[in-house]
Amino acid sequence: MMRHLTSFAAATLLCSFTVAFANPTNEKPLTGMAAHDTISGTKARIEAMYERFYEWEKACITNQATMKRGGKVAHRALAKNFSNIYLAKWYAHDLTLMGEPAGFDLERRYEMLRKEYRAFVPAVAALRRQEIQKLSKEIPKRDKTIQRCKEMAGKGQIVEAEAELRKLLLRHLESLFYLDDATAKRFQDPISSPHNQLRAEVDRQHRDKWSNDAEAKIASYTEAVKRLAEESTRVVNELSSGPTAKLAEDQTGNAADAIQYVGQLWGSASAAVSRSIGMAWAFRRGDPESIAISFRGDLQQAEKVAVDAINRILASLATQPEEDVRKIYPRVLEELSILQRRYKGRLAEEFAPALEKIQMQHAGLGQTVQRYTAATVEPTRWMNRFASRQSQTLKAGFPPIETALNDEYEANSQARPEMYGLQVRKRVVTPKSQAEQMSWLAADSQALVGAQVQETATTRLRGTKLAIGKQTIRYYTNLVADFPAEMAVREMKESLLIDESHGPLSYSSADAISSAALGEFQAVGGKIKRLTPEASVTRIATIPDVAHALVPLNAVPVIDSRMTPLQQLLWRVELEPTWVSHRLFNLGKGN
Amino acid sequence: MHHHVPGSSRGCFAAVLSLLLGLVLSIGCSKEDLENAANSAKQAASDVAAKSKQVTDSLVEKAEEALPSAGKITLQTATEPIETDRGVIVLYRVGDGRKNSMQITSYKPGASSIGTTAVFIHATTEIDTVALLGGKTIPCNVYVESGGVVARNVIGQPVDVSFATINVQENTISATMPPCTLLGSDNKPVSISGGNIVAVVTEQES
Repeated sequence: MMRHLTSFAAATLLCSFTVAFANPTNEKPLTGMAAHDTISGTKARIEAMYERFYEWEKACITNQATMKRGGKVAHRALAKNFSNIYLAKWYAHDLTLMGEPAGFDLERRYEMLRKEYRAFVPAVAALRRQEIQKLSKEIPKRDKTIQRCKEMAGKGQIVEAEAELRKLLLRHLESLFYLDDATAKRFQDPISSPHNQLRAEVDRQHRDKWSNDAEAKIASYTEAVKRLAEESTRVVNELSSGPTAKLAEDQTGNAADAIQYVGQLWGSASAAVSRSIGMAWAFRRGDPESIAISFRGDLQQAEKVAVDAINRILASLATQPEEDVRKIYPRVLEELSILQRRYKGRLAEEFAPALEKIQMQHAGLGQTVQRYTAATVEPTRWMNRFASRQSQTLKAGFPPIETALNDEYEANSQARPEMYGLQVRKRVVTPKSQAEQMSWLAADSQALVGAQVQETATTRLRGTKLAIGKQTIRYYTNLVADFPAEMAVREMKESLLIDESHGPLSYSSADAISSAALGEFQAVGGKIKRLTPEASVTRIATIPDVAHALVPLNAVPVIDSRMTPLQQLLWRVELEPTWVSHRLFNLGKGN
Repeated sequence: MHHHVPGSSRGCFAAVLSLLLGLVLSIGCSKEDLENAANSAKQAASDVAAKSKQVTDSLVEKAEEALPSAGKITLQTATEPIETDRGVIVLYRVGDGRKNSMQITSYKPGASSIGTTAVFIHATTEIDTVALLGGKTIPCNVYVESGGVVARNVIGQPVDVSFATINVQENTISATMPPCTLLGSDNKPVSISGGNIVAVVTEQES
């Protein structure tokens, strides 16, 4: 795609030395924005452009300081940078057409820097005359090139024409650097004017091409939905003829394992749909909410497949000996409760008939279940009663995160180079969109570190120590799920008559146990530890399967419909928990 | 207290009346005879009345005897005692090898509404019947709801509840609680200076 650019400038612009890559945080504000790389190659490009930006910004700051002291500025290097900044701005704009939010950040940065590079004009006044002479001598050749490019454009060779004019303009800019605005305009306009027109046309072509390229990737979610259907069918078939089935990665499992497996496939399908919606937001025009809703049918289809399969897996337990079913039944309930916590609304009810049937077909188990339920009603009632009242006390002093994000703070003056001469005042430092350069926003957000906030339900990322909350339009939370809860859990298990050889026999107990085991609490209160402004579109477009619970299994991701998706921010708020609230107990650090 | 035993006394009076009429009609008597008849009828009536009162009284006594105890829970505090006029004890046995659950409630277990003052005491135990609790002291979790606050023993610090011998006639068992400090849901301590429990022994369903 960048094959037309052969100049050294282009090469240096696109060549990157760094490999590690994330998003800026309050601790490391200078890191560039992440890419979703839907159009391959953007990630490397973005990294390189951030590097170049900081190099050229540093050169500008250093030389402006020199200039103030009355010293000699490195004008040749600065002139080259000045020209490259124009190229960088066009590249940054390309990135926005490639659906990359970093493009907006880079475009803003380069434009601010371009203005600062105009500050050297007085310092290089002595060289003005010779540069004007150079440019004047070029005029006939210049005009010939412009004419030729116009003819090429007339013949439909838009891309080639734009590339030629661009090369010409970039070369001239190295001289225009030395001229005052009025004089520069005289020499620049004859090239800029036709170039801008050609650039606009190339942009249109690029936008169409890249949108088309993206559609193929957007459609890829169907693979995950298909896999859910195929694997579910296979597993259900195997379980109808025996007590075990082959699951993922050459693992064999029983009905409870199979339910977990189907649940994970469902989660992966949900994540795939979310990613496609993120990409659709990046490339399609139109109301973002409508775009998201257009995928709802696929989510409903995935849900139907999963629920159906799970009910069939439950039905397969009817034909197994009661002895074996007794052993699996508690874990089956736990797996269902895990899915319920990743679902918006009531899911457990879908499985109630199948569970009843199991109890009817195994009368002994049925009676045990009834007795167990009767024996745990009152302990559950009171544990819950106490916990929910006590949580009111805990929650006081821990406002919702949204409130903290809307508070106003002093911006971080250290983060803004003096050169820009910016006034820093009290403001919301965690805005909903890219209101300023991302590194300044990230640095400003430092003001929120230590703020006490509360989050609602969190879910565990399987295989990790992390838990996350559901995304809102504004933020999502993450925290380390290792809150010490041994004593409370021990007492809860004893009250619910659960030990190593006896698991929960009611859905309520299963949910209590599975949520305690995974560290998935109804509410968490703590201090903000770290903030990362992420582009909403990039975050959603790159949700890993394991983090599918960022969005409920049966819901589409959310974004503000009133703003351009590409410019919106989803703040990642990392919490250090002070207390956690389980349905049946609360725990504070030091309790 | 007036105990109206409907039907029987009215029936008795009607019999006396017809007796009187019968006497008068059949005898065709003199004034002297009538007076005699009236006197004996009066006597009969009062005899009947006395007899019916005896029957009524005996019925009332039986009813008082048959009304079962509802149980009672009283927890002493520094101010007003926390009292419930009901106490129920159930020993739940799930029967699949897991431990049992001894539960005392100030209401019918499983009730949807439990009142504004309520008590719940429970312990996971290997003791198999309520009767076998007699004479034993077991560590229990104690929950109390009163005045809008729910309080319980601190997790890991159960309260020792001591049971007396089961009262078979009354079908109740009594227990006492020592002084203890519960934790309120508002994180304020709730001091209990002692507790008395009378709970009606109830079987788990099925």
